[in-house]
Amino acid sequence: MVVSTVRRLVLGLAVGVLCAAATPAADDGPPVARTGGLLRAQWNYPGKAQLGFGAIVGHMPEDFDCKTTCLFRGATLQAAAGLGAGELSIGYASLVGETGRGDWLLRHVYYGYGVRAAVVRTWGSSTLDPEGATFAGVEGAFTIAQVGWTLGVFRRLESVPGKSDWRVFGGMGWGF
Amino acid sequence: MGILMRHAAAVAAISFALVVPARALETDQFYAWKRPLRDATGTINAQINANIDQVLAQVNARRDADTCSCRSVQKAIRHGFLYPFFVRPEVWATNTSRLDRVPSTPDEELKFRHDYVYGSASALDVIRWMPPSPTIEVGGIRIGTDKLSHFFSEGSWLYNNYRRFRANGGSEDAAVQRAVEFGIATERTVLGGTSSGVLSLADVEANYQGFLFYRGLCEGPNPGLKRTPEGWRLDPPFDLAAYVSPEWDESWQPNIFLPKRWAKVKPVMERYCPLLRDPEIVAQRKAYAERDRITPSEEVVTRMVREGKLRDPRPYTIVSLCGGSADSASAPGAGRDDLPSIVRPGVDVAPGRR
Repeated sequence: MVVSTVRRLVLGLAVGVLCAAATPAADDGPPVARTGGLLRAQWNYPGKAQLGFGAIVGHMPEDFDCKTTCLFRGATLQAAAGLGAGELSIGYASLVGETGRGDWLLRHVYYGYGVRAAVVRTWGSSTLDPEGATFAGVEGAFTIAQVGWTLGVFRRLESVPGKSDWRVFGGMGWGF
Repeated sequence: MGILMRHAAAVAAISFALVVPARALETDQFYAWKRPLRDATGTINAQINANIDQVLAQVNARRDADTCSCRSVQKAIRHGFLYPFFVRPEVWATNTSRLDRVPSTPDEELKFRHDYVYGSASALDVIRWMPPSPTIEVGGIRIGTDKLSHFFSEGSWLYNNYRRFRANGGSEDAAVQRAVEFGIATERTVLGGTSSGVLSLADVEANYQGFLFYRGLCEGPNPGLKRTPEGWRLDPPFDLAAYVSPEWDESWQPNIFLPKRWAKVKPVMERYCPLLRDPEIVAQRKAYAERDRITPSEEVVTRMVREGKLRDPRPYTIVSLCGGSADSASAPGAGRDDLPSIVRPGVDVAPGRR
């Protein structure tokens, strides 16, 4: 049941990503696929202190160096690890960010929103009972002025008698 | 539950505190003094007209293209420009290699963020949370790319405000005045004054000109949007230079600063005092003075200053700061009361077209 729901979500996201073709500029050349690195440092539940890394695929004219603000819209693939949990996610995002001194990593995301299908595995100092549970669900992400929030609804993949399988996870920090 | 509610309230409060200053992008045309810039008018117009043509093609492909109202076409054009906090033309203008900008290179961008008038702000200062806007030149006027957002985004806010007032029976003049006052209110609060401590009168002017653009699409003696046998089209095509005036240049049109912000900006601005005697800057300001005119937004600002509702911007001009005579040419309400030389659809009527 849960697996099929997640599968449907992932398929839906993939269709959304394919439909959201970037608008080509007048004479800036045809849009080409470009990836940008994503970074986030967050305090969240159940991961506690957590570091995340990932990438977004967008389409834009080839000569946009994105040292200053670029608009990325496309698929995201992200992973995060924290004291209490780890997370793998795939989704779609739209964001304005810049690489600054670097070439690929989007050091500053000034505005962004996205939705991700995610799998969360608890470990270590997680207060969730039982230890080592795996959750699948959907979460939204929102960043403004480099400060980001996540909020999602997850379901435990292995049911525990007498306990609700549904959980709301969320967090706040820097990045996207 | 109580703890949860308190946490939710805290997160909401922090979120609000962050969102409020987020749109306050600032710019600095002093930094662009003595730095060469090719005029970007043609390139920007081509891009904007391509965007508009794309939207019109989508509208004309709709089943209701023959019956839809001008207002719905206008809305489609507005939506085509908008992206939260950064309008698409602004993001494009900061990236395309087809425009000259100051700063022009990644290295210069880093230097700019350190040296521009707000560069001394700490990392915790809200003004540093969003990127500064580079300077471009349009119709001989140097403007921050943030003005494109003000024009296309806040201009539509003013237009909606104007329409609401008109729908409630307000007169045309009163509605325009209300719209300008609304624009000033946004600049005093979320878009500047209380967030970054900078009330940009240049932003107020760009907002007002954006309002004229949206109003001119469907209203006035010669609305820009026309229904033809081939579908909707914009005639004459968009020309940004028709809306830009010296009032858009923040080195000419003074900002109004909160005291705390002014204390940090003043020493940086003072560095530019010697350049006021530079022949290139003298020529630029002379050309600006000749084109400066009294705009409706300046009339509202002047009235609000007179009524004590707004701080007098004149002490914040570069000439006043550098010990010169009152910079009357750039004071709101000063300038020539003549018509712009380029026709704005729905606003001005070219000879023989009325």
